[in-house]
Amino acid sequence: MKINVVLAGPLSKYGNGSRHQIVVLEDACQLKELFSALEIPENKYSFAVVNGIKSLEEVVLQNGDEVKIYPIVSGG
Amino acid sequence: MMGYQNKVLRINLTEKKWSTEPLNMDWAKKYIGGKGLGIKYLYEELAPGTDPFSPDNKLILMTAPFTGTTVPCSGKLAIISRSPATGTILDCSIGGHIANEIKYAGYDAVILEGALETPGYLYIKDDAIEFITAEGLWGKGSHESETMLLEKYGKEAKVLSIGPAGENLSTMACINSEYYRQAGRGGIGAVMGSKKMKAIVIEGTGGVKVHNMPKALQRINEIMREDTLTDDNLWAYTDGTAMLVEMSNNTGILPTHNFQDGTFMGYNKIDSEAMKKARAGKKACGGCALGCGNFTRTGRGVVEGPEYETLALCGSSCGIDELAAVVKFNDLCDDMGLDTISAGNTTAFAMELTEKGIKDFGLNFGEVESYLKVPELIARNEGIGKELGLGTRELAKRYGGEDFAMQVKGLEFPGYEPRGSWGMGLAYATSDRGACHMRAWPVAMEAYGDLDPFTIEGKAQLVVDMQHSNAVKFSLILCDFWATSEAYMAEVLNLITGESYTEEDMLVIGERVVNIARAFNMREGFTGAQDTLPNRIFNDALKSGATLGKKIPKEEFDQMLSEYYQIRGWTTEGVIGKEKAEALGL
Repeated sequence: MKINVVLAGPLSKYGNGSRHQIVVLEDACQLKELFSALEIPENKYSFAVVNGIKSLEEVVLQNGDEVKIYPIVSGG
Repeated sequence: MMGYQNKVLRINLTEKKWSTEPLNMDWAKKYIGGKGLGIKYLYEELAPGTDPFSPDNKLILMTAPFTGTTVPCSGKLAIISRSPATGTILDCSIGGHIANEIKYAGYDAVILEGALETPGYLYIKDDAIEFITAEGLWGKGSHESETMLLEKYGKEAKVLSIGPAGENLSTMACINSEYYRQAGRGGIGAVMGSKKMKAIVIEGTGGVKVHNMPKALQRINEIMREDTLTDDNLWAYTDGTAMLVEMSNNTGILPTHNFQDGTFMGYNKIDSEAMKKARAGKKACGGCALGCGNFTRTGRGVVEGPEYETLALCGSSCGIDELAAVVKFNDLCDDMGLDTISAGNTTAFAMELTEKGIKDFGLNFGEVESYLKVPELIARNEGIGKELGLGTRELAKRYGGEDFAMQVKGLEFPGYEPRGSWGMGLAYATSDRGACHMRAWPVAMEAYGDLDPFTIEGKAQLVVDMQHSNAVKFSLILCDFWATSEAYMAEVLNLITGESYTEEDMLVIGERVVNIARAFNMREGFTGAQDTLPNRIFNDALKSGATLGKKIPKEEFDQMLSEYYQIRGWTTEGVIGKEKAEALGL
């Protein structure tokens, strides 16, 4: 299945500098497997949104899902 | 101790005289500088009950040991006074390069006392101080004033100035520097205006002595690579705080229509991607490796920013989804010398009062034309601005709507909806200067992180820990975009001063600073009764998105507050206990 990924801020380095990526995964993969495929360490992102909903890493992805991943932030 | 100039410049504006004195090094050891040392000075020198607009109130410009060195993110200045908006202690910080100039002029602090008889400004170059009339400047915007002063003194000079809002004593007036940097909150600009001080121009030609220069340079460079220029901090450079618009919308904490909702239909028109299309340049403060400043150019003007707080309070909370309009509102606030958080929040409150038929201010959510008139009306004290300039608390006293006047102790909410981040509610309620996101920022762990945002469990300890960490950070005057640890703070402080602070010392100093700020407020009559939130947070459920149906039950908030007091060693009424005061050496 194909997942449309948006890598916010400095996380684009995990997409070779590109904010937008299409990642091909086995069917019924979980969100954490997407993180593994992109080689994003656990301590480098704050949260991910699947189709507009903040999601746990155990959530099962579907073909065509849009996943946005946000970096750690400080300050405000 | 190295890193300090060991000199305070004390200026009596009433008598137009000045003197210098040694910095109190006993206090410096216990409070370091910036926020902590500034509050300690004000606590010791200000008589209880002093009217914030009285000449007896003081305006303290305080640097820190890192100021003027190569320590990353150390270019900010702390400004301390008693707030005319809240009556509490008030410390603000301002970026740019002005802090370095104070240090290079030979001072750790400048303490302004009294008031000028007629409007004027100060020119300080090393040990030469001049009092100059502000004729031709008074009444002008901050941008034009700064330009005129730089034309006169040259671009090596740095300027602090106020706009008409400060001159007219608006309690949401700020102090500006380098056009787009502000000491924003609590009416600090009105304190300067009450002293009839239009500006302070400072040039320094000296330097700062550090304990072991070669070792400090080498290690600071290493730390910059291993802890500053990392992915965890570079979001401020790549995207800027505007990225928080999308993050907040997705987690249901983006203030919308005066906190009636936590998601905004037009969020993607004012987020970082929209701003990148209009980006016109970058800027950094003195000594900063991160460079968070983003200039945005639109058909309505150019501004450094808008930062997240402005996008949230002047954008979504006012129902405005036109980036150019928010940029213009931001630019007007900067020029007029207004805090965008309080100005935006109060505008949104007036829009809701109008919407509900309580009082017609001619302001409606999403309507740009009337909205863009607000900053100048407030700053000039004209039309509806005469009332809006009073802020939400005073407006609610006149017309009602206290339940949805989004403020604590008279200071308007920043851009994080507490019903989607319950710890943030406690942080607002217990902040030393009213609703503030700079004292603790639990949203990073709750709405933006792994912690359940809709529970009070563990939140009291989280807020206490964050308040200590930020209090010591702002006493070192490190920008909070450098997400560093107490271990690094202590290490760098030792490199500069030659002392032997530990990581634990940093947290004790943070706790001491929180407590002296509380002691100041207690002396001014504040109790736990003011550590609360508007009833909207307790009674009204949010309407959409990730926070649909959420509110903070009052009894749970009270329990969280009670736990917070207990952890702090304060009484159930929020009073500092004798044991705690003694342990901290207050």
